[in-house]
Amino acid sequence: MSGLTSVTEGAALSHPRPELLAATGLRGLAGLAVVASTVGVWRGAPGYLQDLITVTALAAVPFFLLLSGFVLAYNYPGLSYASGRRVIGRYAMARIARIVPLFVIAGLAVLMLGALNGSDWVRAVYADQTWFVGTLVLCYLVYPLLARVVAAAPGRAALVSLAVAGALAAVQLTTSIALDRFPPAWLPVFTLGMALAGRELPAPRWPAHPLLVRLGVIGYPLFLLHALVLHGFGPVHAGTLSNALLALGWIGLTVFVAEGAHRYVGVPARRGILDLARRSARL
Amino acid sequence: MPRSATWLNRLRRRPPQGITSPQHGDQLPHPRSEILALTGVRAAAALAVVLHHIGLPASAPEPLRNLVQSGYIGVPLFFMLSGLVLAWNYSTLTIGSPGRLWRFYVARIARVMPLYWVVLLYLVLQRAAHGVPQESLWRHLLAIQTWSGDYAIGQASYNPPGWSICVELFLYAVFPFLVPLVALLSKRFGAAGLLGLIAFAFAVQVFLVALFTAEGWAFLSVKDPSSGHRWLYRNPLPRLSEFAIGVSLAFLLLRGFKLRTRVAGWVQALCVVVVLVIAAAGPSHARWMLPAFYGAMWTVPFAVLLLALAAAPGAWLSRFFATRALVTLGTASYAVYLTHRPLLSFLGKDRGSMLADPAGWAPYAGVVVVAGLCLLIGEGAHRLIEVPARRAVLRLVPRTRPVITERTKSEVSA
Repeated sequence: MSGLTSVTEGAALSHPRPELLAATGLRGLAGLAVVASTVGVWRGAPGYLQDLITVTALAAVPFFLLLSGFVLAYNYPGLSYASGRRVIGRYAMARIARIVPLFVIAGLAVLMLGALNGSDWVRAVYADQTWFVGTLVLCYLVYPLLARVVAAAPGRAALVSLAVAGALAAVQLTTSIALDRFPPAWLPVFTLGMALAGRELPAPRWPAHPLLVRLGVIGYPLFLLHALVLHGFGPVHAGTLSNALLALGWIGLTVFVAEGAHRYVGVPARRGILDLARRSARL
Repeated sequence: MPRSATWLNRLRRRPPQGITSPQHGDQLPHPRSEILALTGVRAAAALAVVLHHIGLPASAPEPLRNLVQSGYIGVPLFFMLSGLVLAWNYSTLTIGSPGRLWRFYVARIARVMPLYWVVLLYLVLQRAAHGVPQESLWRHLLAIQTWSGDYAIGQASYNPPGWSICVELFLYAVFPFLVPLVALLSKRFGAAGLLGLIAFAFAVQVFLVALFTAEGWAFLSVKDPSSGHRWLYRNPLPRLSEFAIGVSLAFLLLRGFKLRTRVAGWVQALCVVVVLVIAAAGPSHARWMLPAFYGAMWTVPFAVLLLALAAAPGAWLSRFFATRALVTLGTASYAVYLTHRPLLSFLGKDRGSMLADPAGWAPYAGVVVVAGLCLLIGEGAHRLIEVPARRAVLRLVPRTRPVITERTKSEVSA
């Protein structure tokens, strides 16, 4: 099975430890939940199904960030800005290769379509994505600052992260201050993920199912492009079984687009940038 | 002699995997290496069809609009290519060997039908969701809709490009009967026999064009059951000409036909120029040209082009079509072809609406983005449906050793 760290997916740098395919599968599940909630047809579905999809989708973004912290701490233990230019350079190139090309290409496509459909359209299909990528970049920048601190006392780091995240959630829920769009407010979730990487966690087998792993591999383009695809194709109305089935087709289309974007943009660009990083490291 | 490091060679640094590679779901042995330039040319054919359906805004220059409007010629190219590639891989197939015949038909079904049915299922659901009654669904399920005289059934309902899959199935059915005849012709009369068959097939096309023009049937509405559109374009029978020409081209290649790289380069350039000029001129200049544009007009340049691509791998266009990017697009071309048309109507970017768009750069950008989206969806459908389904169906076929093996270690796929 080829996960995110396999050569076929564009990973040209070596990784110190084998990929946790269950984590990749969970990423896929969260991505699918985000797409499913965006389709909107579930408004006519039974209450428990609506709640399940809404809660899973709401939890998806914190989960992505948590997972990001976890995977970085798993792959780059003890990284710091004092680790040397070569090590930090590799880390930076790997992060850039993973997120920048797809974000830029998809952004250009959105801007072009925005010229046809108006700027509100751009906001509708790319605002959340831009915010998320900005938050992710902040997390990537912060990681080398916190990695050693968190690794030295993961339990304490987890408690502090939980306490800060809880306090921020309380502020968000009880006051009119909107913290959910403020990227630094998500750092405790990211740090919690880093802290969990130091623990032996029970890893269930089912998330490592090939289908979920595949969805996890294309999770990033799935998140970037789902709103564009669903908005472009128009809403699916709620209320009938055939509409619900059609919504599944819409989700399928989004998955196809994500797979195509991963193959045509994500993999070659990642491979190209990482090849460049490897060659310049040799010089 | 090692070739200089041109940009084409740099693009080929990592060997591409073609349609007959395990990565794309093939599990059967093939006697010869895949001709990668012919896989790459599928990408151009599919893209031409996609652009034909998207169209250009009314403000675009007329030759450019004609060129895009002529993108449907990717379909006749597919038919000829199909004959060539099948004969290249199954040159010794006969109806007297039931085991091989079974493998051939299963491989054909595995290649085209799963995705066809998935797209059809999606469209059936879409109709149900919008309360539109299903019509002649059984014909579409069996992929026999294009035999119907009713245009609405044959080409205008569900997935319009499905008509050509219906033609392909007919050609696949005929292939095991046709290929021994062409093989016999090649054995008895050599290249002259094959050229004679090509000339005969082309003459049939010309005769049909002349007949339909003289009788006036060519100019009937596409909805008329006697129209040229029905009998010259979407009926499977006249498509046998292009298919038989493709099969004959394969036997010419199997007889060792080669072209010198430089000569092939010029021939390829000439073919491309001829096709582009005729397409840009459009069929509107002369009334007699309309039926010829259904297929006969393109037969000679396509046949020469395919032969030049296959016979001279070192020529410039052969190397271009064999690049990794083009081969990758070519492997997904069937999925692009099959999925793009329904998507365009959902996006509101089919020909009708693009023509009404205002002048300026934005509609062109829209065309690029929509075409790009079609390519992405095609790649996704190829990887996530076509390949796994092909793999699963081919597991039904018992494994055998290839009859002939021409593969060497240096060759890439097949």
